[in-house]
Amino acid sequence: MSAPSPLRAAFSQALKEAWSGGAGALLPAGFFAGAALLVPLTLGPQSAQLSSVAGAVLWIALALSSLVTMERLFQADLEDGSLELWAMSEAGLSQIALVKTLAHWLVSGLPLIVLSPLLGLILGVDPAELPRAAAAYGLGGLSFFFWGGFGASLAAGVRRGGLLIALIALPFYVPTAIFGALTLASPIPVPPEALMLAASTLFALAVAPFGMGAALRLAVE
Amino acid sequence: MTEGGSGRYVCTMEADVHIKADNLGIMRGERVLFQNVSLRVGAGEAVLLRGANGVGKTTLLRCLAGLAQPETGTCVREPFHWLGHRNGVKPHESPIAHLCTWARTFGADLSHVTQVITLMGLDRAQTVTGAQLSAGQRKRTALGRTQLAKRPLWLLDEPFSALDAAGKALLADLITKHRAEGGAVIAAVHGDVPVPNAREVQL
Repeated sequence: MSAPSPLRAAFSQALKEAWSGGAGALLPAGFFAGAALLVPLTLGPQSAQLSSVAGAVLWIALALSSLVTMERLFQADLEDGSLELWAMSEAGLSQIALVKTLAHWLVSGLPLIVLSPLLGLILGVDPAELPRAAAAYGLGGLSFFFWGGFGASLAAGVRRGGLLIALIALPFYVPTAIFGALTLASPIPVPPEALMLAASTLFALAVAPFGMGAALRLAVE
Repeated sequence: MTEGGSGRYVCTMEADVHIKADNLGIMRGERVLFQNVSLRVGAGEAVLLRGANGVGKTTLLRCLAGLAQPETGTCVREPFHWLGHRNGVKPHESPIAHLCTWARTFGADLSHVTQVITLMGLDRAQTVTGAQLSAGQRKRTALGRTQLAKRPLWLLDEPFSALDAAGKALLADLITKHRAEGGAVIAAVHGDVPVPNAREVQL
């Protein structure tokens, strides 16, 4: 017998499940690129106008792409009976939800951050700004995924709950989106707004798992 | 049941009782399914829950497992294995991947998994994904979880359904062996099942 490690087991199961969906893991990245690249086409030929809104466009695209595959995060577990097994494991459902959301972020969220500098370049963001912007999108994206996961846990038992997830999660995106946009707009490298952005992400990391745990407990019953 | 300082399970119940429920009352919506259900199941015992569809066998089992909260009463239990109506085998998981996941979760040796695969008769299907397994093979995979770690109590919801004759005999053997080792089983069943000397409870 070795030490029980439900969290490691849940993490690797979630990683495999995300990849097993074929291109499912890359769907958010495709959506992110598609949504962002539609903007230059709709905005017209003034490149100055484009680069002034590029940061905001990427925030919106990031927020929406974080929701693309959120629906299956807990619904699959509820349907196949894994969720009740996890509920009976030694780790609480909050911790299970935390590692599952992290695994989901790793597969669906991290590619968005990797993609963001390229999209930024295409949209005319100053290249010197790109590393800072990617860091901000990384922080914000993590917060988006955790609030999205909270929405997913509440909608786990709902058929076609994708829209419901968006309705629940989007209000929680507001602080992160505001401080994220302010961070990019500020001329200082690490403005106070960046700290607030980090704080909003930490808040999501700290609070959302408990919400997910409680919602999943209800879903299992 | 509480967890002791040494990390081992310490039973706070009387000796050899693996699950103890007192005065359980369960409602579904506005309907009272059960009132004053009390039960003690101890070492070597098997309880078969029987009753028509919809009478509440699954609800009672879920209550005994702590998955559903009863309206009244209490239930304490030792560590148990659970086989639910939905057996927990994921569409992308092969029997080997499934059993490795739960072996890790239970803290069982991963090297033990291949033996369990052979025991459950899944040698040929061991790398086939859950979506392509037959219902019986998925059931065998899920039942394999009970062989990964020793736990005194098994709570099984219709464990014999979907199994072929050999599978039923295999499960009957596993249950007999589990009881001989001092384990207890509570199962919701339909029809004839090869579990001798069981207490039958008609709901």
